[in-house]
Amino acid sequence: MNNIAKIIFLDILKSKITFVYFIVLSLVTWISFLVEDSLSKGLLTVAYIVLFSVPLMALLYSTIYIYNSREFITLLLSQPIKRGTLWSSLYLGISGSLCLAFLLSAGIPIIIYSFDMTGFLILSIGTAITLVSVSLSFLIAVFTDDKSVGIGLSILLWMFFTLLYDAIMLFLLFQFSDYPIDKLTVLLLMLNPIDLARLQIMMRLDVSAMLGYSGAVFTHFLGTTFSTILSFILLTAWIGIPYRFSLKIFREKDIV
Amino acid sequence: MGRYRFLIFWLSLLISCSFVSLLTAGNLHVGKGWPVTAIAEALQTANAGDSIIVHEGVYQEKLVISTPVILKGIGFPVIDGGNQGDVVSIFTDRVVVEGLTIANSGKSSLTDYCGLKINKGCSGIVINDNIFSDNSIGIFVQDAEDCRITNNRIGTSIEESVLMGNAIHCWKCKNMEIEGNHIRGHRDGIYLEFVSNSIIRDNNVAKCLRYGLHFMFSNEDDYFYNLFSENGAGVAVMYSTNINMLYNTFDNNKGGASYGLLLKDISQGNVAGNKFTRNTVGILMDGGLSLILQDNIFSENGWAVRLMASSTENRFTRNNFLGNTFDITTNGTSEKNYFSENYWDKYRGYDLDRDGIGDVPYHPLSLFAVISEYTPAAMLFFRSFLVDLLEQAERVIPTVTPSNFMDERPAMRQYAL
Repeated sequence: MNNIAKIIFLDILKSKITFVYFIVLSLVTWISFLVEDSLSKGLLTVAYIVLFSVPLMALLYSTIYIYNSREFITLLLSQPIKRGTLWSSLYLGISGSLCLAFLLSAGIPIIIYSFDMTGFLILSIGTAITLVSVSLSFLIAVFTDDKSVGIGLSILLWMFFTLLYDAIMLFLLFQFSDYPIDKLTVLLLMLNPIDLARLQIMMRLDVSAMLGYSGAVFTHFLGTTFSTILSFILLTAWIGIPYRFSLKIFREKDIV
Repeated sequence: MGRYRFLIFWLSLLISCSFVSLLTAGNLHVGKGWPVTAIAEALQTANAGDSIIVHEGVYQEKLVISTPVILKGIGFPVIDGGNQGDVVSIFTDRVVVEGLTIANSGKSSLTDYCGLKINKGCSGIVINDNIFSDNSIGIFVQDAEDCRITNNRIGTSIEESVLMGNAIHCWKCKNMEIEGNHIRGHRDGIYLEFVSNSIIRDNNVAKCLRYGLHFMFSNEDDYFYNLFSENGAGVAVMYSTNINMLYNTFDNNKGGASYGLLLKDISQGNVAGNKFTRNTVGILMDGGLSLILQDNIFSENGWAVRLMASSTENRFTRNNFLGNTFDITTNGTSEKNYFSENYWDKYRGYDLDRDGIGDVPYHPLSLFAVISEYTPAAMLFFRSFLVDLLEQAERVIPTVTPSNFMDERPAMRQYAL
């Protein structure tokens, strides 16, 4: 298992696209810290980039990677290796290399400029989002055999999480604004991993404003240890559940 | 010449007499090992102008001062009111109270008991360098003039809000000087009602349940160089005119109904050189008229300024707006406030003629500030891509935000304040 994971890990690290991802992300992070006149503004820009580009890259890249390594997977399946072992080492290899690329590119400037809880939060959120995206792309890859459909689905999924979900929620919020739906909105937003990450970052960087709006919802809910634990559970679920499903489908499949 | 000699003789006699009377103004010592052990006893025998020196110890008594004396503590002797009534009451002019610890007034939800009470008609009272602890109201000044309340440390451990009073409470006073006090944990730090021509300076007020400083119907007052932090609701200036608010710091007043400074129905004041940092709302202006706000720093607030529709003719000039979540928000479409030459860190314009003033006007009111004013729960969507897109669209074609709510001459560089 470790051997396969290592091969894939190194293969991805050597690829040009990962290198470009690494270079672009580190450049953008450095520049946003250097150009913005205050640290908190720099951190906000970086958080923006992380929430926008990391899921896109992880989703697209790993979906494409799985489709492209079909022959390699078929070859390995002809060896005496359990299907479950192969799938998990594939996951380890892909997610490990993408996380490393993210941590090396965005991590260094963040640690240099903001070595505190906020910096740590952004880094762990970036890592978690990478893991979630890779899990989802595994599910997409076993869901359809057609590569172009798979890629289309992953772009659609990214659009859904970053834009459409918020749009629907905002629409519902305005429609039902006469009812006490604050808590429900928070809960529904927390179901989207990107919104979940955004809320956590906002709680740190816009504290003053967050405490203003009907303080109850935010401080009594989002600021508590309960919500931290809930966020952790939800993120773990977002990593675990799609992966488990993909594993189940992969096991029952004929070849790939 | 003879007449002059006569005059000089009388004058010199007068002066020497007054010196003699000063010299004979005696020192009465109170304390263990001294002939008098109760302060009340000393107060009864004292003549006008006497000094009563209170030595270290705990005095279980309540004092009524009706002769002009100087009451001075050595090593902060404790006057303990035993949780009943007012601890020290002053009924006459020219009293000095200095170096005492005044503790444990009565606590009631019906009557306002206090540590020290200056009663109706007194003037020229000095309350300096005392410690007030566990009193319902710290110092209560009722209908008095020309008093100085300086360098006191006032705090309480009362937690029930019905029993808690204000640290310094002035009602219907004139020419007060409240300076250098250190106030913690009362209801209002300094409460002024019908107080005029007074100066409040260099006080440090924190962790009060309600307001750090509270003006009601008080005109022609100045407050400067004070520090107000972590108070339940910040500082409130209400129903007053001609108040100068200069060089104060409003820090860390956070919460659902919290603000650094509330300006409610006030007119013709100056708000200058202040620092508003890390407040939920820096300034909440509701019914402000003709105020001048300049050279202030607003940094890291949730909302730097909330301007309610009832505020008009206010001028914001040369302020720094740094790192606030929202710079300005309003619930109206007010066009009657003026913004000029402020520095906005969110300004993205250019300055081709290099005169330090941006060539494109700045619209400080963001779409989302307006939306969240009507639907507060929309704050949950702040900093999402969707909202960002909407914000950009609004910037190109303003539909929701009033288009003439702007700073026509935004500064390119931050002011060094």
